[in-house]
Amino acid sequence: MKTRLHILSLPILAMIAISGCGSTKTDSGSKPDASTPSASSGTKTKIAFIPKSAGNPYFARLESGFKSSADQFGVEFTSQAPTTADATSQISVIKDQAQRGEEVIVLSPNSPDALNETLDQASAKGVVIITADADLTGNESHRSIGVLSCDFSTIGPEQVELLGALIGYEGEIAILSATSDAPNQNAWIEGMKKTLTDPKYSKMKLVEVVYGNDEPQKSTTETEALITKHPNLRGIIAPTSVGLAAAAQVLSQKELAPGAKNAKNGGLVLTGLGTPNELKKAVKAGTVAKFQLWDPADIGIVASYLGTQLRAKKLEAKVGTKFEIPGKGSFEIKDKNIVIAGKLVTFTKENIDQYDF
Amino acid sequence: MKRFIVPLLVIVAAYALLPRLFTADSTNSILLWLPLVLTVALGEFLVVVAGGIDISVGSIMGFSSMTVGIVFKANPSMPLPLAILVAVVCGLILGLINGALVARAKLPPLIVTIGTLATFRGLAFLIAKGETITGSYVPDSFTKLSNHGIPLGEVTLNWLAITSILCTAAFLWFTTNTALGRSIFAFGGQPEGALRRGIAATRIQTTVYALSGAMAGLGGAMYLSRFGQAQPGSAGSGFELTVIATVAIAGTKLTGGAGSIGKLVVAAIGVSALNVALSIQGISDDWQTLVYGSVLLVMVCADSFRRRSEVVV
Amino acid sequence: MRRNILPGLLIVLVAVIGNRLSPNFLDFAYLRDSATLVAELGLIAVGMNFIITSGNIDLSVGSNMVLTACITAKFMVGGMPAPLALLLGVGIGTLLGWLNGVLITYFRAPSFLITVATMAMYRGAAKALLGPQSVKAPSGIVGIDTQTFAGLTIPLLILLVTASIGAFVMQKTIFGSWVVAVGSNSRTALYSGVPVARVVRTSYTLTGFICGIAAMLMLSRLGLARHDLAMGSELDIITIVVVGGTAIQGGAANVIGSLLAFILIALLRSVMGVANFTAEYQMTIIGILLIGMVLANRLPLKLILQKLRPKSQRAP
Repeated sequence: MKTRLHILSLPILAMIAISGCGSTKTDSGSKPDASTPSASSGTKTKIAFIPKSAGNPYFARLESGFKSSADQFGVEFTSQAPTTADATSQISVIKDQAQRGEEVIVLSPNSPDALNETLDQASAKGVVIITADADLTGNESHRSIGVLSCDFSTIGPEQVELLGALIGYEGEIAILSATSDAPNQNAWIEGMKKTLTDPKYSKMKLVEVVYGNDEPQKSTTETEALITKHPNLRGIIAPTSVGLAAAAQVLSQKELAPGAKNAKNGGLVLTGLGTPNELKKAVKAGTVAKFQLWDPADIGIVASYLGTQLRAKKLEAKVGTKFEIPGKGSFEIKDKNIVIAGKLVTFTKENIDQYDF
Repeated sequence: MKRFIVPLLVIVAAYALLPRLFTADSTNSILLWLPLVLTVALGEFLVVVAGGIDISVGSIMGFSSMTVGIVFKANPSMPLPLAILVAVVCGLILGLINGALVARAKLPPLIVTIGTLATFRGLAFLIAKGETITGSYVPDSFTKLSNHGIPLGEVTLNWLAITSILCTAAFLWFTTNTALGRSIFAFGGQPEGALRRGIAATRIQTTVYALSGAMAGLGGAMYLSRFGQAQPGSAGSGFELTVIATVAIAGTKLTGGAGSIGKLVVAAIGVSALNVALSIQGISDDWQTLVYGSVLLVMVCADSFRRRSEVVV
Repeated sequence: MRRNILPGLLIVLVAVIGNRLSPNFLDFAYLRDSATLVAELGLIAVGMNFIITSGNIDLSVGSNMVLTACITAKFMVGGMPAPLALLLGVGIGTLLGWLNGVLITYFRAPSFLITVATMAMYRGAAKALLGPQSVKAPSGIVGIDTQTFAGLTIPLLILLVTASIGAFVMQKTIFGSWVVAVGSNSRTALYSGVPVARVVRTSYTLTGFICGIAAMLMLSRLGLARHDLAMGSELDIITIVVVGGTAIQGGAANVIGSLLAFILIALLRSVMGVANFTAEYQMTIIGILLIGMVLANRLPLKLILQKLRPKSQRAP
């Protein structure tokens, strides 16, 4: 027994050595090394994207924007995700990417303020910092430009209108959000609350906002609890993909959607923000009538373009600057150096098959 | 009856916290939690009785739910029993890895399963290849297992709950009617004495970790059926704590050798009711962790206090 | 000391591999700063050595550090002078550690379960206290991680000093030998006059004290406190201790080994980061390292070393 054991430690050492070859991830160069001389590396901008966490299809779609436009803009693209989505998990990733010699770091921050010091240190090394999809709300000075999905002020009104039209502008409604400290979610929920003060929506009553933490398990329990607590609930807005999919699952299991077996007073209507692939089945089954999202790939394309321009100093990160992206149209740097990359699309039974992300 | 006091207290606490738990709707919600908690807890129970611990069960659940999801994605018309078999086999294989490291390489269970907790979670990410399993890939017939079943008035005894009850019966039979099953208790109570009496330690330890893995694998399939989606990072993550809490509340002797499956069932009902009560009561997310930790602490202290005299330290 | 050969060799191996994978890897300032990011974990690992050697475990250390940082930051924002608040912070950490020890020894409960519960409670308390917000630390105390002395950052120096003291206490003091005795066999220790309960309580209090220091370092490094910092750090800390060669069943300590393991893991993480290993590979490799090192620590090292030597030099 004992003599056999030492054989076991060899594979571990080998594994550490070998897996380096298999798992390095790069999308344009054949080698990940910063200094590998290649014919075009002199002109290419090295951009690294850091999503909130690994294994999220939303960010895979966002990355596809970088990849599809890499040749057009002359970008050598790579990405690296932290294992978890907690506030500080991105700190070491940012340091590692700066050390790798990346010239631009595009980041979807997990926290609006825990990364300030780290980002400043990277900037001091000459790295251009761009936030994408989420922003450093309140700490905008620690990045040069924030690329956001769409005009946030439109999300509240559009979502409320979407739900209102489906329930005849009357009845109790609830919101299923992600985490209670997500700046995007809170901005949208604020927008919804403000919209609900409009006389048009005076008969719609927001009874509760619950948080599913973007986990299927918690989102499901919270939705079930909502239904138990508020027997007269008519509508739920879930402005997050995981939440929307979880709520759709609950409605489908309990058969509470309009027209389903257990539907009371017209049925429970569900809408929100989500990716089409996750909700195709629910939309076709009628559990979700309509929902919205932007195309995350747009964020990647705009961030990639801005990265190359800021790096080459062809563009200045200044409010009011206008620029044109070939094939995408014109954009403007707005208040707090925010650029809006796309706009909301409403998905319905009719059009959902046209989208694949 | 006296021995059931601690697990029963949890149920009473949950219902005192929230009278609304008596409604059919809440009972249905509890019945959705129960199979997950009970099934995985059964496996953990045997490991603890054998004097070990398995904290990789959450990661095994994650891996098996991802695997079943991926198989469904490739082959949506796969028969359901086959899907469940895939999950159980996945769990069994991972459980055997734990078992081999504990029983054959003689490594401490806590360290083995802390290591495999990370490794199995990593494997779930690897097989996922950056994707998640969404509701669109899981067939309706599979998710319906969690809300269809035998109707009892307004309450539905769903198929998952029935499965977990059948598993409980099987475990009860295994631990009382087979030599191997009974030897687990003997081994956990006195590993050296049992060894001396010639009961094969390797066989017992391999069995309990393999069974724990298989039950966690089944739990992964239940997770997918219950929630309709699975992400490599979050599926089953942290579930090991719920399960260990259940085993502890059931008054299982945590150093091994003693425990009752009957009390485990009561504890699982209590934990499920507590989960539902915390959500329905609208105890803000900010306070839930604190409440959950406090309840667990009180249970552990109360249970340990009863047998203070047995332990040094 | 022979037990420290393998971690030492692995450190060299990882450095060589890292250098081959990326020319950006062997950069002292970068490696130093990366290690500083996790210096708090190495620090707590020193305390965890005592707990594990006494045959117990503490899963609440990460939560202790977070709750301590949150309370201290709250006091600072409330106007308490920084030096006083820092002292108070170390005190809070000590108190939380002591509470673990008291619960475990009074109720004679398994340390694993008590600290699972306090892990949830401490973090839950931080969450209840701050909600989703973060509290900023006053700028006066921010940035200790960027200050260097003799080429090392302050947190790394504190780690070195703490580990040295820890190793001394473990090997050369009566308390250290008591800890080992309790972990080897608590009943025998009790009968031979070792104050078992007090030794266990002191180990937890000591670790709580170190958690308090770590919390202050974290507060200074990040410049803020939130409830969700250092998630899962307890497992990282246990990994450091075990990879360093301390026996998880108790009874055999290796504080210097933990320091080497800290360097090894920090280095390994940097290699994987610079070489852009995906998150899932990083996780899997650290898990395998843990199990592999436990396996390796059971090897008959003498025998292998003898076999590796050229035949002529072999002892007859």
